[in-house]
Amino acid sequence: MKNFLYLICLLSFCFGGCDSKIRVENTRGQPTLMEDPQTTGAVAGVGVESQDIISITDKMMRDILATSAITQHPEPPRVVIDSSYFRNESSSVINKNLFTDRLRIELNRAAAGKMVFLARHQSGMTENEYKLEQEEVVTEGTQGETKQALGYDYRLGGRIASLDMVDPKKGTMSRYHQITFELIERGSGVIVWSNIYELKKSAQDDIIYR
Amino acid sequence: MKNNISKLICSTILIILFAAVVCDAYWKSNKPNNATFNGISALDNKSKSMKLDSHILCSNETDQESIKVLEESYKKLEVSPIESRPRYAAEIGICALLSNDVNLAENALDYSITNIENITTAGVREQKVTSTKGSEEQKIFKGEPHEKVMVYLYRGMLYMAKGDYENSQACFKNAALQDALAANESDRSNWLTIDLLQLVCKRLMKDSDEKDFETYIRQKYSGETALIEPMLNCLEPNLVILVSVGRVPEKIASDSHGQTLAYSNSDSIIHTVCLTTNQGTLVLSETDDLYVQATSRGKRKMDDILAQKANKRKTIEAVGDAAAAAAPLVPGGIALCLVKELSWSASDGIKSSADCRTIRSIGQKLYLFIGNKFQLGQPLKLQAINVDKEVIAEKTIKIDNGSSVPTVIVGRVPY
Repeated sequence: MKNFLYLICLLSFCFGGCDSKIRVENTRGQPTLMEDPQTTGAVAGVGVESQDIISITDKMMRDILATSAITQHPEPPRVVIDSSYFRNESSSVINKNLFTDRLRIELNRAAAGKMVFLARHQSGMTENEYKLEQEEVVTEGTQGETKQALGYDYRLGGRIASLDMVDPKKGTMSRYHQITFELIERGSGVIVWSNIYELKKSAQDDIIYR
Repeated sequence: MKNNISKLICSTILIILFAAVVCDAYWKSNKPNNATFNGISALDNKSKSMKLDSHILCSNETDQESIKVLEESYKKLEVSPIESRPRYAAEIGICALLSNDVNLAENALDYSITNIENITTAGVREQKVTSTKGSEEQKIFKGEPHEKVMVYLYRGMLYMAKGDYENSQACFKNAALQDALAANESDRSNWLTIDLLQLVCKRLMKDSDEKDFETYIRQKYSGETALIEPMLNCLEPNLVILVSVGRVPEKIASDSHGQTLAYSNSDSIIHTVCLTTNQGTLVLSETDDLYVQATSRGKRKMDDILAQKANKRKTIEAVGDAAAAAAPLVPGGIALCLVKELSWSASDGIKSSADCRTIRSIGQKLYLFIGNKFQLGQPLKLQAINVDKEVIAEKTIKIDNGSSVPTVIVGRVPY
């Protein structure tokens, strides 16, 4: 009987001690990790991500370079690629400049003089300098008098639209994006090039969040 | 003599055991985390007496006193518990927005939104939460649907105030999606505030489907035409006022072992919010009630998991209760008392309480005004009035009529 009591007491101490808690999770954290922007990262949802932007702009760039109506001019056409006429009508919060900057820079590098790109997104820079030169505040550059800003031949327009679907029973969310790009001729409004890119993602949160 | 010594030893052991059980219960009590978080503790429950806390977003008027505390708090975000960081970020973001620190509000709300949008699949933490030893409070906070909607709503207001109507609309669309998983179809994406603000974005962007969306709102909220008609008829909106009133619906871990998440409704003393202009008094429409939204989402999957944990606890406790009942009746009853203590201790080790963490800055009711500032004249006086028509809080607002972006005013009355 005594031994039984001693055993119970010993077990009680063990149970009492075993249930000690760690108040704060003592994780070491994670050191800085370089991730490939062309792959899905550690943080991912159903919106537009880095790998989508890279994939879309690469495809558009190759397609524009393959369009002879743009690249086979006797004189290289002037093209404006910025986000002024690129609308986001989707449910993804996006900085549109991520698309247009990448497209413009990659095209500029790959076009090898077949197209000339105008920096309309930096128009304030050239206008201010021109004004200062006219007011004789600054001298002209080593290349001669400051040139007047050039007009463009083609300008980029486009739209990002999306369609969302949810399954309330399973807690699954799905988003379809449709991204359209068009190069529009100045004056006539003719669409000389266009392309469309589609992507669809679906995901389901862990059960503890449903 | 021998008998006395053995009795003394037994008594001593029992006293020590009792003390151990008491200490165990003490250590199990919820203690606040030791990370210094002065910002949140300073702002929580702090109310400004008789002044309607509101600011024109992106204007020069800021609440410097609050901003200092918030910036300090934001710096400490990275040392706070990882499971609560998104909640703290949302609190800081909303408070910063109400203090007109736009940059801090953007950063903090984006932090919270990144977490909301991140799809979490089963990992070590998630498995632990569903296990008997884990508690729901260990999961990384994302918030209930009504809380997620409010985070997106405020982020959308910030985009609108800066003239980025496209991303503002995207935020409002996301806000509507957060409510799309409610159990009843009639309760899905039924936030009038969100739909009206989305219409404002479409009108500001001169969207081609703006008329269709107006028709959609009229059909969806056909029972509230009187409430929304003036806002729907404003075809050139450039003044948006959003005031949140009251205290957020408190989360309660209800039922026998706290396994069901419920809400308490604390009625605000504010009955009406008005805008007084040179041309008369306009009443802001009460467009949403967060208590109604919170209680209409339906049952969570987590409630089922917590119910299973609660059932396990009941089983273990039943064994202990049976042992305690039998203790006086059998020899060795002391051992049965110990069995009871062990059972209850084991039961306490199973965490079945629902997560009661909440974003406190969001208030209970939303009042919205959409109009044209050029038609209203200056100055404007915003007033929060109780049922006896007494002015509880008020503020005079001077609007910059030279600004090309719409004037967005966000206010809060926490009474």
